[in-house]
Amino acid sequence: MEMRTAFHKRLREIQNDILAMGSMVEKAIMRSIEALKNRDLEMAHRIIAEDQKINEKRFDIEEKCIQLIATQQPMASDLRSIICILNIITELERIGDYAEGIAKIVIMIGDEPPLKPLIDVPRMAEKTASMLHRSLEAFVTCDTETARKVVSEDNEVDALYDQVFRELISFMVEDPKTITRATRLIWVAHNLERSADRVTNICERVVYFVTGKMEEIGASKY
Amino acid sequence: MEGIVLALLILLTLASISITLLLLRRASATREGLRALTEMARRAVDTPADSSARMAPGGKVEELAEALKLWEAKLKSITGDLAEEREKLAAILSTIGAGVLLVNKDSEVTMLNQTAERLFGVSGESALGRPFISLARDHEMDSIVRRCLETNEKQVGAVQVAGSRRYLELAATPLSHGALVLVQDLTNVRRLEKMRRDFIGNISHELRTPIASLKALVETLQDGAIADKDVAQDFLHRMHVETDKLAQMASELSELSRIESGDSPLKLKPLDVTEVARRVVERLRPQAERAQLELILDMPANLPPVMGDEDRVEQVLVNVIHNAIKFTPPKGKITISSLVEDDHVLISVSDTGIGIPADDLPRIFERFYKVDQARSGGGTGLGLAIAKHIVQAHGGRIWAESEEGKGTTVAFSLPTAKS
Ligand SMILES: Nc1ncnc2c1ncn2[C@@H]1O[C@H](COP(=O)(O)OP(=O)(O)O)[C@@H](O)[C@H]1O
Ligand SMILES: [Mg+2]
Repeated sequence: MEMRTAFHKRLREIQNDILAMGSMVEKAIMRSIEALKNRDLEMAHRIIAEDQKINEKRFDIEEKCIQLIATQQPMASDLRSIICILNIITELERIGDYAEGIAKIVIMIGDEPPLKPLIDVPRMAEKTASMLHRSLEAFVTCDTETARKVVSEDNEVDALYDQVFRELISFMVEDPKTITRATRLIWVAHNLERSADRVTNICERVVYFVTGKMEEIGASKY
Repeated sequence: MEGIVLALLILLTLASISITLLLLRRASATREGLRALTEMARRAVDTPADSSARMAPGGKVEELAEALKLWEAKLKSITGDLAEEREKLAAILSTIGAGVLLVNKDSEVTMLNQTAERLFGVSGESALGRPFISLARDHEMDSIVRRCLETNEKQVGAVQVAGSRRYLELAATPLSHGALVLVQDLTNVRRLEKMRRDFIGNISHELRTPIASLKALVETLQDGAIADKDVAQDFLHRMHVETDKLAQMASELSELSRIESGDSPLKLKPLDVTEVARRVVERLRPQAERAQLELILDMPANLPPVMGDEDRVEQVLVNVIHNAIKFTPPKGKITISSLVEDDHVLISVSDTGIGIPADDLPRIFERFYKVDQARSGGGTGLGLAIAKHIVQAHGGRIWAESEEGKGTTVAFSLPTAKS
């Protein structure tokens, strides 16, 4: 009994770490788009530096998981939750990389004149961040319903991506001088689309962790 | 909670003492034991040095009973005080504008007030026992609390929350078994601060331009240009334009502060808006012609009268039409039309101008908001804010629709006068 409670106490600490890491990643996404909107190069550099901390957090959590396996010899179901955690932090780290990618694009864009006012791209970011937020809520509360709901919202991000993509292509066709700038914005949108996909992976993991069954809930369009 | 625990404690103590007493009697133990017990009971009530409670050697059972009674009374008054304190505390916590939380050493929430529940979007029951991060969902806030628990020192910090974009200020104070966390929502304060900064920035920007050009004109005149009659005439005319601009800004600012403070009430009377619009159009026509714009008044003469303050309604029309003139390139068209809708008359001003980006559209009625500082044509950014205040004071509504590059329509409604 002593061992079991110690195990769960540690597991809970790791869950808290995941929420902290999630918050780091969520902010990185929102700030990368803020930086893009405001041409804020300083903020972009800060996001890139912060990504280092996200990576460190991931290794820190991974290390804690390994310690937990080594010292507590968890049973099958507990082992499953640890493996779920390992998967989630991998996805989170990747999403962090996408945010960093956006920050790098912001630096590339520098002070070029804007191609168009940004509307759908911030919407994509907002949606993705909100999905991420709720996916982790679903994880800590073992809420498969929320997890499934979040997966179903990936369509909206895909639809926005479509829209941004088509619009930017039309810019390029109309005026080839815009190609470089349009391509950069497409990268940004692409990074957001991939991030939302990673969130659906997290949700699938949560469902697996709770029900013990692996299911691909909603296959993404991309 | 504490009250109940305390009451239980008293009961238990009393019970155990009476049992001890019984045992003592049955065993006919020495009076020494009784005396010690009595002394103990008294000590619990009074400070040991209290002479009145001192006991004669060889105590009696009656004395012990007396001492116990005193003890009980004292405990009762303590629990009463505690309950009262708790009540006071609960009242303070529920009315305080800041979020208040208590966390234990493991950073788990053990208490929170209503404001904290609202700030974090949780309800009290479900929040208790949960780790702070799972309520706050923000690693920066969490680390403030953690640092406080680790260092045992007060920690303060302001954080922009991940999801909600609110600014919260946290102060975590160490307690013996955890920490007290005070959360204040600074979102509005920040917004006001930004507005004030923008205000000062805008005012100084707006002042700088006409003043700089006046200065240049005066200096050129002083340097000899005054001798050339034609040049001097032209310069004087330009100086006139600049002073007009300054005068307009001063009057707009005072108008806005007057409306906002509400000390000049509307002088309402039934109005023929078509007539008011015609006057405004005639006044602005020279400007429109200079800008090569066609100004069309498409309002019928038989509109139902509206209930309005004539000067103010005129001001709204001037501000809106003036914008249309400023933001429409040459050869464009500006149309003023009307529509009767239930008990309101809608007046709209459409132009074929540069339009307003969708992102900016909701904000153009804010004070000092200008889409493009450089292109605002020397305006202060106050025109639409004033128009909005006036229309709303009339019980009407004002809004804008626009497409970039195609044009803008600004429309407002005024209530019809009841005949
Ligand atoms: N008809 C219009 N067409 C395009 N932009 C407009 C129009 N009317 C208002 N705006 C935008 O809204 C801003 C605010 O208008 P206003 O409050 O009248 O301030 P100002 O005219 O002094 O700049 C303007 O600076 C401009 O960017
Ligand atoms: Mg104006």
